[in-house]
Amino acid sequence: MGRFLLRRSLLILLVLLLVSIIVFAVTSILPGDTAQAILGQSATPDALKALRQQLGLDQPAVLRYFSWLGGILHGDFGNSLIFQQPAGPLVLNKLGNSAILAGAAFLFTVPVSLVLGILAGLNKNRWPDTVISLVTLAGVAQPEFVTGTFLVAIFATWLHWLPATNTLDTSIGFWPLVQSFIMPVITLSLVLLAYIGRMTRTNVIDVMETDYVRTAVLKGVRYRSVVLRHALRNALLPSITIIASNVGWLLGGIVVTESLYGYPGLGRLLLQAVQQRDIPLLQDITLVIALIFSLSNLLADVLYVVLNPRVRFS
Amino acid sequence: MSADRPPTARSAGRRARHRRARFWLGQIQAQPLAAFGAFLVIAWVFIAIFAPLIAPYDPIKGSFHLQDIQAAPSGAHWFGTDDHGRDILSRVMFGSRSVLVLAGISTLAALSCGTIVALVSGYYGGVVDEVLMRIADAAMALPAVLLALLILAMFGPGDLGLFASTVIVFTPLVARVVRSAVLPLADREFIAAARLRGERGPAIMLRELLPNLLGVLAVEGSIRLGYAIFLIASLGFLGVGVQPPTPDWGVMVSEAQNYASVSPWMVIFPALAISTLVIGVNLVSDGVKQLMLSLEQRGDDAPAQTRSVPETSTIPATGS
Amino acid sequence: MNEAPLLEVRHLSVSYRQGKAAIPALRDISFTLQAGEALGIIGESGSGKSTLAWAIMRYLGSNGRIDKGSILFRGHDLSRASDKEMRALRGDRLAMVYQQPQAALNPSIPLGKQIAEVFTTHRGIGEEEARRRAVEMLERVRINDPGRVARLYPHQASGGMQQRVVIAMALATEPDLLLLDEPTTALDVTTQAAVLELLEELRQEFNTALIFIAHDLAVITRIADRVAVFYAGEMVEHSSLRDLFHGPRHPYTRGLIDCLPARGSGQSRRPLIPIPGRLPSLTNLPPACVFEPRCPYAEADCTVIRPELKEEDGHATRCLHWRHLVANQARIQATVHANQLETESMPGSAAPALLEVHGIAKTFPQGSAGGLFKGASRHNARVLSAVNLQLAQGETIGLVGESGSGKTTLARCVLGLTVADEGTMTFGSRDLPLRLDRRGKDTLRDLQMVFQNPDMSLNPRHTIRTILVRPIRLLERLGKRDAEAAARDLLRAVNLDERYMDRFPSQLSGGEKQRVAIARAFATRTKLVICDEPVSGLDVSVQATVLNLLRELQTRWGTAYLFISHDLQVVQYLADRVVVLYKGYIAETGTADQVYSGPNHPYTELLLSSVPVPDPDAPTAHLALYSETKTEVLDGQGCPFKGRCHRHIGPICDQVFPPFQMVGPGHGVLCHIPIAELPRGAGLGTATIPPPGIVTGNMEPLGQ
Repeated sequence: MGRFLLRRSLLILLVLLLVSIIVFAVTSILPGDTAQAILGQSATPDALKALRQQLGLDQPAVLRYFSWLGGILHGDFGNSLIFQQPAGPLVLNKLGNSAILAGAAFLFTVPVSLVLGILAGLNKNRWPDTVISLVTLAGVAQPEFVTGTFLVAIFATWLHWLPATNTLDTSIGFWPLVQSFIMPVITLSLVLLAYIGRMTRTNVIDVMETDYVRTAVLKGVRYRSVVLRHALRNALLPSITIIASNVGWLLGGIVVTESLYGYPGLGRLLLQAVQQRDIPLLQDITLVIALIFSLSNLLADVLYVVLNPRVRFS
Repeated sequence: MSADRPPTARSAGRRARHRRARFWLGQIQAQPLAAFGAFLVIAWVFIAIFAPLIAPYDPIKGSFHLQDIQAAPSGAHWFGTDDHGRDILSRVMFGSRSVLVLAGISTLAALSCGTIVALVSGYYGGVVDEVLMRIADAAMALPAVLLALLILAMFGPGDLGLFASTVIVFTPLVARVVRSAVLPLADREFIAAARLRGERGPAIMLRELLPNLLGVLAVEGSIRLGYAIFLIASLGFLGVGVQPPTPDWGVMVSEAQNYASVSPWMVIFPALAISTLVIGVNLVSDGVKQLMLSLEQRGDDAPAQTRSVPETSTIPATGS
Repeated sequence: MNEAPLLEVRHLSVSYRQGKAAIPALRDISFTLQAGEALGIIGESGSGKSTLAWAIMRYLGSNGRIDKGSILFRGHDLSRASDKEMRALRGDRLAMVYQQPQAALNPSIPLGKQIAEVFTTHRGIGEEEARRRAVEMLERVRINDPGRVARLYPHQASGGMQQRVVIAMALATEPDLLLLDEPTTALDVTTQAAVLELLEELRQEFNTALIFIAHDLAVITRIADRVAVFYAGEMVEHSSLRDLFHGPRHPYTRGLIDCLPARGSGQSRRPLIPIPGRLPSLTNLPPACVFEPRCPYAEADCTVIRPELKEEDGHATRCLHWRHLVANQARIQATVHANQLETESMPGSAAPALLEVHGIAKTFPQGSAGGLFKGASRHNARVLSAVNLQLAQGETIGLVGESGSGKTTLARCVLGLTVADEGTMTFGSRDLPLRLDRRGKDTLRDLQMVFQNPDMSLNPRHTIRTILVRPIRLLERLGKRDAEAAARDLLRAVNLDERYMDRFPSQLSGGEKQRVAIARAFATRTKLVICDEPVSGLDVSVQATVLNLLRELQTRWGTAYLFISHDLQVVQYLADRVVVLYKGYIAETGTADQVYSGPNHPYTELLLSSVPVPDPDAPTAHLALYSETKTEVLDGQGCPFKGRCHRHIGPICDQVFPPFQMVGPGHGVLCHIPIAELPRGAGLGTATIPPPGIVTGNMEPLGQ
């Protein structure tokens, strides 16, 4: 087990390294100059040159990469160009906010999608399955901003039941705060819900058709026991690993969701960084997200090994 | 064995066409949802192609007359107008073009690249496989939207950037999926048989493996198309996609956010357009998957040696 | 005996709905089964034999239906029982074991717990007690260290052990009736023999009635009291085991028996007589007698009158003219023997050597690339160890071994598909490179392979035309038209019509596909064809066709064969020389006659005595179960067979690698046992030297 963890961790480091190279390469080739973006159109060539020197933009790319990398390893994440403050704490702060939103979405999605998937799978081709399948397939697998738009239009604009923006302002009271989270959480989760639900349904159906479930039935075991004791533990295993590795998907969804609901999280920060060419910030956010993504994949792999006797004892 | 009358070429062709027609009719019957999805998709394609002919107004030219600005849906403007006085119906119609063209072409490109990578990786295995898959892992270590944003930051917003980011984002995913279909195939004995007659790698990949991947590619392609539309629309919403004034559904939704409470039709109709298209593609991709499954099982005209196997078990759900 | 029968099936008819059509899988099946009796059911694919078992268990799936008839189990009609009643019976009074033991066990639950579940469900006892009883059951199926095994997961147990666990689960409640659907088909020969031995013993202990379903007549002879023969959904014959073999009363049964290679050494190699034609499609059955289109005794009334199942002195048959058949047997046997001499072809002993293999070895790293855990392998599997082999032109060598013996790896090394780690090979007079991509077209032309599974060896997307023409064009450098003509000739040579050229493999039956694969191997004037279990997956009557074809082609073109099989009967039918492999070592080698009469390596003795023989009177030694309960010890020291050997003679076997003793001209055995004491006669069932009495009580002394 230990060797396995070690091997996977090394792989993650390798991947992160590759990611950092990719990110750096991509952002270095940006047309349009960072210095120009900061000083504006009317800056004089001298001022631009001075700024570039100050920011170290006139160094060769490889050198810049290593100095950047070195800085990261020392905990120095550089400064944000837009906000003129150290990028590290800024990113972490916004990350925390996004984590709240993503966490809530996760807590909502996992049980609901699993239950729906199981119900659909056990009732294959009967009405619960048809309903659930239709809902997951058509109604829910929409781009987040579309679902968000519909939700806002119905629940905020028309019915006035829920606020149209999401906030972290605790001064408005607990319940209104929760209310402001409801729609963003649903928006963020729906895609994942549909995906996990459908996968679970497929797994449940496959497992119910295996020989060993047939053996259990032929042993005279009751249906409920067959499902709970024999089928589910094998059906849910792949779903659990998929859930773990889809934490990363949520990170993609926050960009759109936060933008739609005006939530002060990492996604919005990222968008700003892209739009305003804040390279250091962009690089840092990307690395952080990649790290979280990789960690969640690692978690998924570990879970798979731990929960699957076939792999654990070979 | 039954004695066939030797068929003439023409009657054989006619019979084949009949069989094919009956097959598709049977499919529509068996999968009404997928058929409905196909109808949606085809409708949008039709609209996209003929937009210049059937759109009632020019999508770009607005109007300065006050009553034309943010007008509610009416007989003159079925979908209402936006804050520039532009007819939303026309904009929606024209908006379908960029989405479909972009999504379609980039999906095809991603499929091709991904398949090539998958074939090389799956057939040669070993170091080549490890390296390619590590690179794919790196590309997949970032959520799609993020990677796309990065690439767009490089190319600048616009069609080329969208195309590039979609292809780069999806190629590793396609490669993964196709590779997992290539691996069991590469183990099959007909590949060994091909090697034994001196066929070389590229020939084997093209002649032996690829024809067996068509089913996987069809399913994966339809799924990817859905995601491509997803991604392109989302990027448009974030403002880094197609640039105004070209009508783009994502952009339309995002621009209309500010007016949502006053003129909800500005937001709803483009959203509905995206919605229906994505639903259509999803239904179709599910249908394609079912179709592939049933084609595999349908087997053959071979008599005998077919076991009558009980259809998949239904455990009686009665009792406790 | 006038006891009420345990099971009485009356005029049972079952059909499956497929779309709009109803496929009549079983028609008018009637038989009775007494308590404690063993009934063997024989049939090929589509015969409905499995459907019968599912019908009895009332597990026909959503599209299966009992149309007519009744299934009376202890007086209760199962066909009308409610789900609740069935649930009470299943696992308690009625139990079932089927083909793939690994699939039948839940991969996430330890073995002991799965057995215990039967007790908690049907006997209402607590977990503790149930687990204790589960361990007891494991012991009763002769599993060593049952306490430890109970904690294992299915994938940690061998195939034989898994199947014994499944049997333990089935017998835990001492059911009245045990249904077995091809339970040994997926197992090695020796494991199969062990399971059959076990079943026979347990049947006595538990007094359980058995219904044993198989496609292999030989396997049935080891376990059944009575036999029923199924064809295309009908029962065509039903009698005691001996009556069936000594005097079959249905042409199909006669045909099945004639398809099988007889026991004995190569001298009595009568040709196999395949049954002409194909199994009928269940949706398009002949109007009257279902076997009539293929029957050599058919007369005019067979197409008009539907024969009923009629019984006479305990032997029932569904044939109008069975007396005619019985009377003709003697005459037919004589003609067959007369023909046999013409088909023999032995290569002259002066035939030049074609293939020479020296010291080929191959090790596979365990948990190769992609494994999560096993970065650098700690346990490498040494699959082949310094194997030597000589093959003369036109000769057939039978390579015999079970799973893990290395026989497939050896074949792949010879072909270059797998690259050997050490050793050299020569082909003709030229050096044969170990790697396939270093071989020239000339070599490729002369060295081809027929693979085991025709579904896997033909590209499903290529037409037969492509499959045959491509190797010809690549290796013979013919133009398109010439190549196509050559391909058509090939099809004719394997007795397939030209119409098949434009068909796809999915449109061909298993036997036809395999014939196409053979045609492909012979596309170039191949000098050596390696056949890897070419008939294992095929129905019995089809096996005969393919084997005959292989012989015929060899006679015509003088090709040499390296024939790999686990089925000794089949090997003996084709082979001039036999090589027995065990765990990558050559245990024995000699001519077919020599290997069959002995003296033998103990492993060969085990193999020969495990092979089921379609002769109810043949004596069988019961070595397999003993050997199965032992564990192999592969630590690189001493003899590789030491852990399982029933003739282990002492520490020398554990510590010293055995010498390759020549026990006859060209006949060698890898063993420490002095030549005079080596076992003989196992191949003929007339073993003369019993093994030393160190074995446990379930070991019967060999003898006539």
